[in-house]
Amino acid sequence: MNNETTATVERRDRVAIIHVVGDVTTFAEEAIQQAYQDATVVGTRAIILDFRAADYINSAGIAILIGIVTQARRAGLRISVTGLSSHFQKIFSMVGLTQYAGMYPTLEDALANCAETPKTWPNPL
Amino acid sequence: MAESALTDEIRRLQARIAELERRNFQLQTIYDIGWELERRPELLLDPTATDSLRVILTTIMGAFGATCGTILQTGLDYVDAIVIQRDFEAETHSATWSSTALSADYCRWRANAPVQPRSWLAARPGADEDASFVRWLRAGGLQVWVPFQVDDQTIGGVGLGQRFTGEPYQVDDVALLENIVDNALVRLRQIRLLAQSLAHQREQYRIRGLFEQFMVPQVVDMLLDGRLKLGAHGQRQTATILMADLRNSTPLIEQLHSEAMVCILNDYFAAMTEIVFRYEGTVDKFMGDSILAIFGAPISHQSDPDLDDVMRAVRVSLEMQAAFTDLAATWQLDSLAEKPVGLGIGICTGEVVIGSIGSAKRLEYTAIGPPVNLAARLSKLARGGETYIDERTYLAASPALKVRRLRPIRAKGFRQPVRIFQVREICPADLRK
Repeated sequence: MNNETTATVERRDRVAIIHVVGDVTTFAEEAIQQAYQDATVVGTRAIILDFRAADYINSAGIAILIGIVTQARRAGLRISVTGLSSHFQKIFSMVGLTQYAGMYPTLEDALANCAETPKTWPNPL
Repeated sequence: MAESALTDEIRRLQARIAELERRNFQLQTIYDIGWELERRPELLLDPTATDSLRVILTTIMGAFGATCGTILQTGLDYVDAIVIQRDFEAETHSATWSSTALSADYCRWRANAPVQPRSWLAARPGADEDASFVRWLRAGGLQVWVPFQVDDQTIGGVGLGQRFTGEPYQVDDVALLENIVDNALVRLRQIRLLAQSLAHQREQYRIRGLFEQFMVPQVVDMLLDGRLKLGAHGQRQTATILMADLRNSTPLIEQLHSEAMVCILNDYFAAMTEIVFRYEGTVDKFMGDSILAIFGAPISHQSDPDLDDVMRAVRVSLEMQAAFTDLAATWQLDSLAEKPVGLGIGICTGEVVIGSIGSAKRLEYTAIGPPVNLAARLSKLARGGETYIDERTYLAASPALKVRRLRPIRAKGFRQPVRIFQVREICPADLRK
C-alpha cells in the first residue's frame, strides 16, 4: 500500500475515464476530487471510474466514492465502474453504490454501455 | 417441495453470507481508522482534534454507506464543542465551533440519558425525544448517534444520516458503531499519548542541544533527569570564575579576512571548551575573543579532596595556555602581529548569583557578581601567556601553587585594593594527584 495515489482523466468523445492508480483512502481524496472536476467539463455525459490499477480501497475510500457518485447523480451524468475485484464488487453492492453506478468487467464493456441508449439511466435527483 | 425447501435454504444461507461479509467490511473499519491515523505524521506534530476527527468520520461513513455524518467533540466542561459535518448530498464538509447552547443541550441530554441504551436511534424513539439535543440530531438528518465515552465521561459523539441504500439503521448497526467508536477513541488516545511523548522528547533534544554547548554531557544528563537543578530563580553560592581573553588580537582582526578570523576563533573556542569540559566546568559564554567559564556550578567539586573547583580552574588555565601556544604555532600568527598574540587569563573565587537569567524568550545559565567582573579585569591585565588570580583563589590553592605576588589593584565593587597573584606553576606533588 502506498499513499501516492494518482487519478488521471482520459477523454473518449463525451465519456471521461478516470484512471485511479494506488490506494483509495482519504489520502486519495484530493486527487480523485480534482480528476472528477476535470472530467466534468461541458459536454461530458458519462464518467467511468477505472480501478484496474487500484490496489486497495478502504472504508474511507468508499465514502469518497459515495461522494463522487452522489455528485454525478446530481449532475445527471451516467457513472460506471470497471476493474474491481469480486471482493470490492460485493462491497460496492453492500453500500448501495451499484444502485447508481454500473459495474463492468472491462473498460471496453463500460465504454460500450456508455454508447448505448441509457435504458437504465439513473434518475438524477 | 423438497427442491423448493432446498432453494429457500440456499437463499437463506446466501443472505447470511452476504450479511457476514457486510459485518466483516464494517469491522474492517476499526483497522482502517488506525491505518489512516497512523499514516498522518502531522497528527503527531499537532494532534488537533479536527483532522483526526475528519478521518474518523469519513471512514465510519464509508463503512455504513452513509451520505451524511456528524462528529461533535466537547471538552469535559461542555463549554464549547467542535462540530465536523460531512454531507455528500449537500456537498458540504465543514468544521465549526458550536455555540455554547449546543454543548449545554448535549450536556443536559447526556445527564438525563438512561444508562441503557447508551446510544440513540431514530427508528427507536426514547423518552428523550423532546430534548433539545435530540431535536438538533433530527434537524441535521441524523438517524443514529453514538456518544464518545471516555472513563465514564461523555465527550462528544458521532452521528450518521441516511444511507446510500436508503435502508434504516438497525439495533445491530448501533452495537457495531459503538464498537468502532470505542476502538477509534482508543486509537486516538494512543496517538495523542505518542504525540505528547514525542513533544517531550523533542523538548529534551532542544534542551540538550542548548546546554551541551556549555556543559559536559554528563551534567546535561543530570539536568534532564532531574538529579541536578539549575536554580531557575538564581541562587547565591561560591564559585570560581575563569575569564580567558586574547591579548594583542586587534592587529589580527585588522589584517585577516573575516573568514580566516572566524576559523581561528572557532579553533580557539573549541580547544578551550574541550579543556573546560574535561575538568567538568561550565562554559558560561563567549564574548568577542573572550571565554567565561564557571567552576562549582551547576556541579560542585568542593568536597573533592583531590581536585576541588579552585584547583580545576587553575589547572584549566595552565592547560589553556599550553594549548593556545600550540594553536598559535599552527596559525603562524607571529608573522602577522607586531606583539605576540597570547592568552590572558583571570581567575577569581567568591560569592556569585547563578541561575537561568534573561527574558522568557532568551534565557541563559550564567553567573553574576563581583568575582565575574574581577576575573574579566584580571584577564585584561594579564599579558599573553599569563594567568592572574585573586587572593581567595590563591589562599584556596596556595599549598599547591607557586605564584608571584603582584601590585594590588583598585577594582569596581571592592572597597580595598585587591591583592592579586600571577600563577607560575603547580607544585609537582599536586600534579601527581
